[in-house]
Amino acid sequence: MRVFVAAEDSGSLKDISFSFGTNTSVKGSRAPNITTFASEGRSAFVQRMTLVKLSDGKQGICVARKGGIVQLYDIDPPYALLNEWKGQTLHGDSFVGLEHVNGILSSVTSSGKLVMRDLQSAATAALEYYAFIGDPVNAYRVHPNRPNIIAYAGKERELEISQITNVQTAEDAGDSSSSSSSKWCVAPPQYGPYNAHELALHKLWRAKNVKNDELELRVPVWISDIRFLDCDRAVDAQSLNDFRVAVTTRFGHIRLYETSKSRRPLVNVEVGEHPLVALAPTAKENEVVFCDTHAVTAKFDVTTGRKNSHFSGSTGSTLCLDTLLPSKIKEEEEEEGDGAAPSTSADVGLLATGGLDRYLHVYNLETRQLVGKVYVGTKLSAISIVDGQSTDGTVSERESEYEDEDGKKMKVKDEEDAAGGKRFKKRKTGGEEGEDNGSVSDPGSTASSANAKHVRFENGSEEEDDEEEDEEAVWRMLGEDGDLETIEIKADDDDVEDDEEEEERGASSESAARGSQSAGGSSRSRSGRRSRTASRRR
Amino acid sequence: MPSRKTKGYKKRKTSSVSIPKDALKSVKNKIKRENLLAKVRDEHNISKHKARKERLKMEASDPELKAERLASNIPSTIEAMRVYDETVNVAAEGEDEFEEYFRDKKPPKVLITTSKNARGEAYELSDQLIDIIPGSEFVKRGHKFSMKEIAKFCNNREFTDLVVISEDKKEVNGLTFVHLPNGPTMFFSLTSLRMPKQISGHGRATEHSPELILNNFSTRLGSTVGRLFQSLFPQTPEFVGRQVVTLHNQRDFIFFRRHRYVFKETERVGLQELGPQFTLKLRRVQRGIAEEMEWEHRPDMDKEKHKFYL
Repeated sequence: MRVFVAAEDSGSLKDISFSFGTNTSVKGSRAPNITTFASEGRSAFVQRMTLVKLSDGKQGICVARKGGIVQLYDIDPPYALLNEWKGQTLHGDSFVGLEHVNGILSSVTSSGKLVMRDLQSAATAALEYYAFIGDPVNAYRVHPNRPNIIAYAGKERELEISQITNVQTAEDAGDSSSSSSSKWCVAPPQYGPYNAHELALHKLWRAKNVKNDELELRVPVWISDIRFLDCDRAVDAQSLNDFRVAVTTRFGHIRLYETSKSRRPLVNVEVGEHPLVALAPTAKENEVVFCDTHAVTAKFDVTTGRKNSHFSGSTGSTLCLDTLLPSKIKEEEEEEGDGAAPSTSADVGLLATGGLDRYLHVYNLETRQLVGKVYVGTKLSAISIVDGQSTDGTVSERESEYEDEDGKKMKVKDEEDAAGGKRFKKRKTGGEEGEDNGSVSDPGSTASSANAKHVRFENGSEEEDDEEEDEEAVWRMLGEDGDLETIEIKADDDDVEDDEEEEERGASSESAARGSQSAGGSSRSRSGRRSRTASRRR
Repeated sequence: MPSRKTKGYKKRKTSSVSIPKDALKSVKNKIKRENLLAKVRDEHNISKHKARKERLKMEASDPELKAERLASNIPSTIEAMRVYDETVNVAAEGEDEFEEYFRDKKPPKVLITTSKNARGEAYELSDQLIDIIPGSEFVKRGHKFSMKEIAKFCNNREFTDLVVISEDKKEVNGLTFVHLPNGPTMFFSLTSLRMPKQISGHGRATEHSPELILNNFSTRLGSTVGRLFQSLFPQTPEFVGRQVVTLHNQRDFIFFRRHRYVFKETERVGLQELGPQFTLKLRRVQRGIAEEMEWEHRPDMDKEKHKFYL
């Protein structure tokens, strides 16, 4: 797969390509291919980065550097500098957002200067539109499907969603616009001394701060990142401007706003005591990934309001997240090939993280397993996944890996035959090693059913000792019969027994509740009686 | 029983006389058994010494043999069994937070203070640190200001580093270093503190700026830690003083020692310890002034015996 990262220490960009399973912390692992370019020093490091699609169908990488420079590079070697815009920030200003939606690139600085450019048109340099959205701004996003809807927020500044009213997309304008090649045009100002290139903003919605805390003190506001969720919802005229937005705060909160319902958040959860840094969407509409300043990267379920599961492995704070979602991959494939070539991409999403520990981590978004770990050598300030396929990666490659694993299993078995009970130990140490090295695995693991069991055991060995024991039991059984089927039967038996026990308990509790002092007497039955009596009292 | 230090080494060694413990088990009388064992051990020792003497003679006549033996006989230490780390001895890319400080050749100006409510040892150690770090000054910590505020005040007064001595129950237990103006912040736990007066035959330090020895800071994190210690001392030492400050990293423990070297004869150099001695262990590195965590020691890191982070 291919990932672009921005190095903070040297102000450079790095094109990293590697195959799944790469882990540079393991000696003899497949080496990633890292190409460094565009080094401009620490004083001009990349603050924001995004992938863009150019007018000729090519892809480019756009970066916003400290010092107010926005650059556009070719994505392929020799990484030619296609365009550059200077003087975008004032002194002490920094970029807080760089977004590319439908051919329109927008950048926002912390002092609130919003600049939009149409990259699809021929005369790129000329078409520059700007607006001031007020300061301070700490977070900025454009609606993924509608480039004229923007959301922004900051320190002591509530979330706002605005519409840019004087722009029209090509469909709206019916190609009657002045610049014929551009899909996008700014309507001439209707009144007032407007500059022709000034964007007119119309505030659609503004959030309200959460209620005071239990001490009746105002809750401070400091929003660090914004994401539009549920973007593909059916839109009719009435619900055109209803949005679902998730935000993270520097005070450890994740909030979910539904603009049609309320100005206050529907969900407001403090997920940790440390400031949250970034937020990324996942394939599921109700799930987001967040990271904080203390090396925690985890999934958050907005419907249950609970922190789901951690992406472990990084030792330093994660500064940047990027997710590659399966739906997006599918779309791209449909665009590129007409189904002639077999689908080679992963069926699951990928998450790439980078930060102060100088490693690039790539995880399977579903199973949270580490897909790749690459030592970059500098702190990472921005990240974007270009390609989610393994470099030499085809389906067959992945299968061969599984064959390897099976091969290992076979080997272990052989040794067991030779030397008694040694195998259990061996198996265990293998698991520990996996844990030590951060156990890199393949993202397509859940997809293949043939190896599902094997994978499950591996998961078990990573997580809990109890499960490790289970695993041992399984291996022991394997040694007896040499057949995987026995496990299932055994498992079923256990279930049946459990069910019977539960039935017994249920019966005893019922009998106890009736007042018969006969059998039962288990703790559960007692509690059942207690609850019954309590309800009677009520 | 072999001592703890040489346990692993002894195990591998095959001597000419092996102790027949199994045979001794058949002797029922305890005293007789002990005597027998002592006898066997004595023989074992004698044969060992004989073998050594012979080897010495052989090697005196043929120095190649000694070289061969030394080359082949590598003790398996924990350091040698270190887990592979791709960041070891890799040239650092780009600039770090200390770049400006070293490029401008700023003279260090260090503020030393203690944690709140310090009573005992912290003041003694601060006396020592003032002595060790040239261009440092001590300010008594009041109740009013937090670390971040103190760092801000130091910035206004152009300090280059801030050192805070943590004290708990009248014992020093940690040191925090903040490089100014933009971090990083590092916290070390401090153990095994011995003041100069507890060191027999210690010398008195002079006011010369010392030479600095940084040993074994090999990983990327280690080099950051090394740079921090480097930034505390003047970049050009006064060799007249013949004083050396050593920060020796071994298995992630950093040993602080201070010596004066003495030229007694042409071939060998004498050392006189000046003190104090203490051991540091890195607990966390934060960006800026105690902001994002760059690295933090977690208890599960101690699980891996052969993995080192510095």
